[in-house]
Amino acid sequence: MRLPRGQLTALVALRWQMVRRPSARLALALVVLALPLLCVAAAWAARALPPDTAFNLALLGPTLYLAFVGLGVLAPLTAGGGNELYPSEQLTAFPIRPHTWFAASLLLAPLNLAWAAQVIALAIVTSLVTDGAAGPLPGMATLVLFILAMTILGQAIAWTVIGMRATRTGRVAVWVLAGLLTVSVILVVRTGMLTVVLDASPTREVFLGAIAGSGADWPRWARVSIALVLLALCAAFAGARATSWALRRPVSGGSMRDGRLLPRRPPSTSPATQLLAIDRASVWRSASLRRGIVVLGVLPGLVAALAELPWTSLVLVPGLVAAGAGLLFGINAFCLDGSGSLWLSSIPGWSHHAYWAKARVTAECVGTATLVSLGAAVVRAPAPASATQVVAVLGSAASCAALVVAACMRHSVRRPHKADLRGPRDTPAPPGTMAVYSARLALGTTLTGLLFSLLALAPEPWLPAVAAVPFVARAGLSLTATERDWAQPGTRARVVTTVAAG
Amino acid sequence: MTAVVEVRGLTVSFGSVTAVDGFDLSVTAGSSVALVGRNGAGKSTTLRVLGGVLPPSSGSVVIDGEDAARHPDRVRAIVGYCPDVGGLIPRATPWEHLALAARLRGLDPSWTDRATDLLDRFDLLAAADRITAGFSHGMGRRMSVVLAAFHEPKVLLLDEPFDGVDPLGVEATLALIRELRATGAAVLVSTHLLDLAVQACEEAVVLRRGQVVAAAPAIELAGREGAARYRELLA
Repeated sequence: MRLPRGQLTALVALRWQMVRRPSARLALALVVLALPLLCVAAAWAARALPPDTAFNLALLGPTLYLAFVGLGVLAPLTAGGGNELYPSEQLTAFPIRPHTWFAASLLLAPLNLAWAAQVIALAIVTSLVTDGAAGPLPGMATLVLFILAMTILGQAIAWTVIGMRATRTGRVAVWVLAGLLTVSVILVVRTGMLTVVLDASPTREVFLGAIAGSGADWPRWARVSIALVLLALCAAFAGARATSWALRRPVSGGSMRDGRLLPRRPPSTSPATQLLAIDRASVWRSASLRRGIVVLGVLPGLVAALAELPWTSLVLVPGLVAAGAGLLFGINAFCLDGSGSLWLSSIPGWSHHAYWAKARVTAECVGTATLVSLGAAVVRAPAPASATQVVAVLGSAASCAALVVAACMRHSVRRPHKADLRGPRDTPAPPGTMAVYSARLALGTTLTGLLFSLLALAPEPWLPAVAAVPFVARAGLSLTATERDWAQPGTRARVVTTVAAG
Repeated sequence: MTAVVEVRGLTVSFGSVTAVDGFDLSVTAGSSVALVGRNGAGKSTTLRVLGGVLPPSSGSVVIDGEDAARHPDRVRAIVGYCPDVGGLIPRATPWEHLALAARLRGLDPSWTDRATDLLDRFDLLAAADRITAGFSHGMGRRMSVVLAAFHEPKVLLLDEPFDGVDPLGVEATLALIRELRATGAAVLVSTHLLDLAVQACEEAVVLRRGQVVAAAPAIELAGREGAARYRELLA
């Protein structure tokens, strides 16, 4: 396998040059630097935990390691094979090697909030068990190798699935495999075998290997670490081959779907409903958006259900889901119109209806994903201890959704990007911008969720309900202010010409 | 005859770049004008201003008596605009585009007859319920022309309507321009295809670096001599 270093360096350098604003460069650099710093800080702070809490957390170690394996596979799958440095059509004129595609998607893997959060969690739980004679470094080295190996393996599996999905037979096979996996998980949970399965997970051996390193049990530590290195190398080789295979496959899905005849809907009652119908259709007819909404709605709820999260913890779920849903297209909502925005903006009355249609379809997407995930999580959650907990969860959902929709419309008007969201890996903004938006949205929604988790302990149920009012009101004011900005001819012209042509 | 399109001292700047610099134009009802010139001459920017997409930095644009800066929505109601790039919502069908235009422009229910007729004439009827993301470039151009002409505008603005369009599509576009002119519409066409500009329009305006360098009957740009003169104007 030829190393793609030359091509990759050139592509990354160009992408960096394309970040023109110094403030954007600074924000991006901070996002990249924040992860290792947060890991070190979290690991250091975790040592101050009470022994009982530390012990209980350490028991979760192998399970958290296993969750990271699942995320390593699911994250690139939900992104259609990992994120792209550039939309593929922009590189068609260049002889980019498949290895470079693979390495680029691997390089962008950390620009994923769920991935980063899990890495921090792993750093915390590993630091709790690596305070032996040899210190924390050997154990942490094992953790780094594990993260590396699982991320590469996840990308390799994702590219294999992308290749399979290029044909109808392959798509059926992938759905069958996904169905079998889901049924297996349900069976394991329903038969009460979850603990047994988790205890038998190979990640337990990795976790013990990290502990062995700290305890100067070098043979065991070396055995685990070498196995991880070999796994990473094999996954890198297989991933590069899988990418090459996937990119060579004739894609039948996209073009076939573009050529389908769609049924005509009855005429809408007003321009606003007509625009809303087109915006909804633009979302559901995009493979990447459809998949994103389904994954965001189902997966967090499923994980929360498996973990049987109590209502006090469910308060945090809406924030995470809402932030993710906003990132699907809401942060650049006018890109739904693509080059059609030029034609649309030459029609009288379009701009006012268009703004509120975009806001509403973003709200629907965020709201649907949030409610579906909460619905799934509630199925197995223990009964709430009080009505306050239920109100706190609902208040958190309303506040986070309002916050995300307002932020999305603000970003859409202030910083538009060209994006047609046609391909399976397309995103509404370049990867660096996505990372910055992701961090911003997640910070806001997480803090909101934490506030409501405190309010869930309040003596009166009306307290979390009242607390939600300022969040929703502030979002409403923000939406109105952004609409005033959008109504300015110069602002609107900048948005439509950018999303139409870049 | 009264001008339907009256542009005086139009200037459009993007930061330090001036795309259109003191542009003047007058187009009467039933006449057609071709805007020609090199890439970056300011043709598309001018049409975007006339279409109500871009606000002018300075100067005045009056369409059928309505000031574009003061009453942009009234101007939008008068014009039909075919943009130079795409101009179609990627995941909407042609029929959905037409239904949306009919609703936003407040057309009467007989719009479906006009829509069907236009789609048929531009050979798009079979694709009326397919999303436009799957269209070829030429199909997209034809559909953009249909959308611009759909409400029978008083001013038709066509930016590169012939780009990548097959001969039958070109004929359909030329026929549509003739029809609308016969009903009194003013037509502005921006194109790099000089022969088609001559066929479609009676007047031609040559732009260079945002300024008008020549205005003459389009026929004077026809043939070898016309092309040679045009090249001299571009240099």
